[in-house]
Amino acid sequence: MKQRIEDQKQKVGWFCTYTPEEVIHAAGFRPYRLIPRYTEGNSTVEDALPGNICPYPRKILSNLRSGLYENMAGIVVANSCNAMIHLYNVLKEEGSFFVYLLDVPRRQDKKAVDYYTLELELLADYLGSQGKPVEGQSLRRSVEIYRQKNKLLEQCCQRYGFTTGKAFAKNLYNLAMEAAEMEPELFINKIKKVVKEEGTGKQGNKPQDNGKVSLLLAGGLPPQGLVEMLSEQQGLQLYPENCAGLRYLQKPKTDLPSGKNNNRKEILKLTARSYLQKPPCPRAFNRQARNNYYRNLLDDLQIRAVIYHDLIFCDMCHYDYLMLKELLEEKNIPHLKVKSELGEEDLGQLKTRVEAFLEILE
Amino acid sequence: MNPQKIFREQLKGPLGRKLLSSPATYRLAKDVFIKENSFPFQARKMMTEMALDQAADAYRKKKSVAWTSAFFPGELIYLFDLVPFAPEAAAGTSASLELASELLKHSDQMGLSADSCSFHRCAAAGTELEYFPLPDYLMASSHLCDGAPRLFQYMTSRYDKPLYLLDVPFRESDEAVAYVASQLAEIAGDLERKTGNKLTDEKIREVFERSNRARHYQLEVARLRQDIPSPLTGEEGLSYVYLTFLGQGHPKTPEIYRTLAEEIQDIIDDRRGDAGDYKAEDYRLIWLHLRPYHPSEMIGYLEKELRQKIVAEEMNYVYWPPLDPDEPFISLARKALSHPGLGPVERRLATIEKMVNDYGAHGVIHFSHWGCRQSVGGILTIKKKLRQKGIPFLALDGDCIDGSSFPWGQTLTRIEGFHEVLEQLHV
Repeated sequence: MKQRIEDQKQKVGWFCTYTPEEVIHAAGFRPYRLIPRYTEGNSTVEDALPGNICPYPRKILSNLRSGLYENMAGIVVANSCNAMIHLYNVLKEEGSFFVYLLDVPRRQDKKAVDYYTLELELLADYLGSQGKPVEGQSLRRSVEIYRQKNKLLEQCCQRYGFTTGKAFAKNLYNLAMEAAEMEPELFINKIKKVVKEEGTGKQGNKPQDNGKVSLLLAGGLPPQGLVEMLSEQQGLQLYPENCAGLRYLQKPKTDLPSGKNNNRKEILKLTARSYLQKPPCPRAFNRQARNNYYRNLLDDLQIRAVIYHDLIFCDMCHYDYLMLKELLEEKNIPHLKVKSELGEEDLGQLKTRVEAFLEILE
Repeated sequence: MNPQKIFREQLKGPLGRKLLSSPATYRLAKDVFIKENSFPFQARKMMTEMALDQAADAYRKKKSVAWTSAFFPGELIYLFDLVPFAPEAAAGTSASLELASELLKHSDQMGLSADSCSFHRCAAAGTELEYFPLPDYLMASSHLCDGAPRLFQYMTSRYDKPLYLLDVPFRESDEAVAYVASQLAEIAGDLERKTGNKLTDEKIREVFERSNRARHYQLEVARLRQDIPSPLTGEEGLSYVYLTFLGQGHPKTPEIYRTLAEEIQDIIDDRRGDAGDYKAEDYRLIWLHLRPYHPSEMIGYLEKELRQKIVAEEMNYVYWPPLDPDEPFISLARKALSHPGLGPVERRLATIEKMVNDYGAHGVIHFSHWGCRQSVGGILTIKKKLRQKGIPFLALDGDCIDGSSFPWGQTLTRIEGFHEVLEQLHV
C-alpha cells in the first residue's frame, strides 16, 4: 500500500538543499533528491558536458540517460554553480520532463530573503502550472508536514548524538538520503517508530561515550562507496558534513504565519528565510558563519580526524578546504584530503589511502 | 643586451618579488617599455602607460587600494578615488613575465587544488607570497565566476580589511536589478563612511560620463572593425580586454578608445595600408573567451600563417546600456545583469550569433581555459547550436596562465583541421 502511494505521485528531482521541498510537495509532486548512483552500463555524456566540469551534473545526466529515475515529472535545478547551469542547458533539451532553473541568492540577509521570496513565488507559479496550483492552504499544509519531518530529524540527531536507528541502515548519510527521497508522510511514519523504539539520542548515547572515534567526512558530495567504506569501519562514528549529510539533517523548521493566516506570499517569505538561514554551504557569502559552523562541529562532535573529499572541478570545495585546513592545523586534528570523480572507479585508490590514514590514527 | 630582456630577467631573479613590489620598477618599466618600444598603435602605448601607472600607484599607497575581481563594476572604484588592483590581471602579467610556474607551484603547496582556475591559483599564491600591493578593500562579484568570490574570501582572511561581495542573480528582471542595486548602494554607503569621500551627484556625473564616453568610442571601434578586410588583428584586439577589467570609469579610457578608433579609421582610409597585417585575411573569426598570456605562437600562427583573422572578441563586446547618473545603482546593476555570459546559455549564444552576423565571420574559435567552468561548461551546447546554423566552431583546449598545460602540437593539428573545414566550405 505504502509503496503504491509512493509510486502514484510523480517525482520532481532537485539537487541543492536551498530548494524548498515544501513548494514542490504543495504542487502535488514527490520531491526527490538526485544523487549520483552507480549503475551498470552508465550512459555517456561526452557529447553534452565537457570532462573538466564537476562530475556531479555529469553523473546525474548519465543516470538520467540510463533511465535510472522513473516517473519523473520534472527537475528543479538551482543555480548553485556554473556546472549546474550547464546541466540545466542540457536537460531542458534532453528529456520528456520539465526543467526549471531556480535563482538562489548567495547572501543570507534581508535583501536576499526578499529576493528569494520573489523567486519562490515564480517557482510556486511554475510548479502549480505543471501540477496542482500552489495556494496558501496547500502550501501551509506542506510546510506543516516538513516541519514535522524536520522536527523528527532534529530529535533523531539531537545534539549531534545521532542515534541513527536500525531502520536507517548503517549511517547518517543513508538517513539523510532516505529523508530526501521518500514521500515525507511515509518517512515521518517510519522515523516516528525509530524514535519511539530507540529514543532521541540523549547525551549518554554519544558515540564517543561508547569508545568510538568521531570522524568528519567534509568537502563535496562523496562517492557512495566512500561513505559505505567508512561506515563499515569498526570503532568509528562517521559524520558526513555535506549537503546530502549533516546540512540536510539540520534544515531548520520553517515558521508559519500565526492563526489561520494562509497568505501564500507570507508563507513563502518565511520559507525563504528559513532556507537561507540553514547552516551555510561553501557557496554562501558568509565565510565567518561557515568558519563558526566548522568550529562548532569539530568541538561539539569531538572530532578526532577529518577526511576531506575535494570533489574534482568544484571551486566551492577547493576553497573551503583552505579554510578547514587552517582550523584543523590550529586544533591539531589530523586530516586526509582525497579526490574523486564520484565514480566507483576511484574506490580502489581511495580505499588504500583511507586505510593507511585510519591505521595511523590507531 | 636588450634592456627589455634585462628587465624581464631581473624580475625572474631572487630580487624579483622586491622589484615587483616597488613603484620605482613601474616607473623604470615605463622608460624601458614605453619610450624604447615601438607600438603598432598609439592607443596600445597609452594603455600600457596607464596600466604601469595604475600598478605604480597601487604600490605607492598614496591612495587607498581596492582589489577587484574581473567583473566587479569598475565605476564604483573611481567614484571613491580608489586605486584598483586586479589579482587576476596580475596573474596574467606573471604569465607573460614567465613567473607563473613558481606561483602555481606555490599554490599547490598551499593545498589549493590544481583543478582550480590558474588565474586564481596564481593570485592566491601571489597573495600568500606578498607579491601584491596591500589592499584597503577587497571587492568581488559572483558573476560569472564561481571561483573569484571564494578566492577573495580567502584573501580577506590574510588581511583584516573590508570585503564587498556582490551577489548577481542570473535573472535579468526588475527584482534582480533592485536586489543588485540595493547591494551596490550598501557598498557605496559603507565606502562613504570608510573613505570619508562623500558620493556627490557631481562625482557620479563625472565618472559615468567617462564610462559612457569610453563605451561610445568602444562601439565606434567595434563598428570600424566590421570593415572587410579587418583593420585590426586579434592579437591587438585581445590586448584591450585590460580596459574591460580595469578601465571602466578611468579618466584615460575614453581617450584610448578614441585614439584606437581614429587609428583604425586611418587604416581603413588606407593612409596606413602597410600597418599590421591589414588585408592578409582569408577567413574572419570570432574569438571567444581570453587568450594565452604565457608566450605562445598560437594567435600569430592563426592570423599570419593561416590568414584566419580574429575580427572580434567576446570579451570586447559592448553588451550594456549607457549608464544613467540619475539612477547610479540601478544603472550599474543593469550593466552587471546584462552580461551575456550570465545564466543559461541562450544569451551568450545570441550574442555570438549577432557577432557572427555583424562581422561577416566564417567561424568561431573558443579558447577553453582549463579552469573556467562558466566558459568551458557551455561549449558543447554552443557547438551544437552553431553547427545547426552552419557556423563552424572550434574549441581549443589550453590554459591562459600555465604554459605547461598548453599542448601546442595538438592545438596546431586542430587549428589546421579547422582551416581545412573552412576551405572546404568556402571553395
